[in-house]
Amino acid sequence: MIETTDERLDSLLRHYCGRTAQASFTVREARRKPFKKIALAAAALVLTAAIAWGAWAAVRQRPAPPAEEPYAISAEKLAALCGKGESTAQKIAGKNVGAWTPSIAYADSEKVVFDVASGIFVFNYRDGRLVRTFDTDKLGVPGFQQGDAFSSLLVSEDGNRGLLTSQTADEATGALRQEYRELDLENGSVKKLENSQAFYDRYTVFQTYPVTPEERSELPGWIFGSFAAVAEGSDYLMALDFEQGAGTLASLRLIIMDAETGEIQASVSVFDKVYG
Amino acid sequence: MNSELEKLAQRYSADLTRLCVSLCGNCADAEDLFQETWLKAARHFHRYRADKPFDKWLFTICVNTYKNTLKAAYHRKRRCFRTAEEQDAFFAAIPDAQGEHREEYLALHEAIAVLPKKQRLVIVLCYFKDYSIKDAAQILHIPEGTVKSRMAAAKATLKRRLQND
Repeated sequence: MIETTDERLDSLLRHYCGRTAQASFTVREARRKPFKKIALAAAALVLTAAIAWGAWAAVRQRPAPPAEEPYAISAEKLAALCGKGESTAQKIAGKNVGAWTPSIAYADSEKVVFDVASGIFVFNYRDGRLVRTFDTDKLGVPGFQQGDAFSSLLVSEDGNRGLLTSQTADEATGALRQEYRELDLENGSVKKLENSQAFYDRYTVFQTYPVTPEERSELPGWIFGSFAAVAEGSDYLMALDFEQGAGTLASLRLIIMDAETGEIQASVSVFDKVYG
Repeated sequence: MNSELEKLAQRYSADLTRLCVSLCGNCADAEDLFQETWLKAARHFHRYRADKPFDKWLFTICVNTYKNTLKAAYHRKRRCFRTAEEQDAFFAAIPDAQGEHREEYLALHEAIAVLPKKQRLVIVLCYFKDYSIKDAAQILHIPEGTVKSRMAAAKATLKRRLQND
């Protein structure tokens, strides 16, 4: 047992985080070389595939698909387009969104799965319908609403299953308890997994956020970058936009835009009233 | 890398190293995060506005990279030291963590490892460079009140764990 006063904890943290830079890393230009090789190999593969595709397309009398271009949306373009096509969706009235970071766990061409302090939501942005809600009571994770317990939400590649990882500290002993809950995003059921090892065995196929940091950094400051996602297999980019007041969130908006042209297809208000 | 960025790299690499090591908890992952951060900084340097502090821009990239690339369960595993040498090298960079204080820092390291990622980010950002609540809120893109509440929760957890260790 270590006697820890507030002052001692401050001192420990200051030394721990303010460590000397004797092990300072240096920027390695050479790091790019392996990538160059990989890029060349990939380019060769793409070229081969393109030739094969071209031959196939000629046989089928179909035009070759356009070359894939990287997403490029400037902040100016977004700002100019902001507000177009706005419509009002079904409200999630009275839900406490809270102030901790919401995030998108999954997005496809129709729906987006995101978590906020009040729970986990499946939102169909095509018709502006809230498909499924997993509020904090339903999840049954102590401390979820305060952001203390929540660790991560993963969603399977088909978007039908979610895995909520949470950890809670026992008040008496301080021992941490890791818990896993399987969410059926189709029928709304929550099942607590008893055997944590089963999680690692069963969920190796879960994907990470589909948006790349480059795409995220293209978003302007008023969109919290980490909430953006690019739907796999589609040309739409989605972002949850939060306008914040004095320490609270005032609204939450889902923006769907053409990732190639930057044109906003729809701007849907998900929450219009949020409590602090 | 252009010459202006090279100068900035020389000036801020030590700070960035500290941030990466404190966030990742081991040197191998920290170096990957460090390199990834600089690669992104170089790629997007044209977007950096010179009238803003460079360190905050750089640390924001670092924090976002950290948030986006490391999954919680995976990261918790990786914070463990694989060898005694790795552990020695990690604590050698903390002058106060030698001798009798080593156990204390080891316990702190383990306690930070199991903090929720959001709380860990706040703790590390506020302590590695004496950033204010406002600075941390800007880098993390969250309200100041959220930084305060996460900080209080993180400290309470750390204290409890250290006392129970």
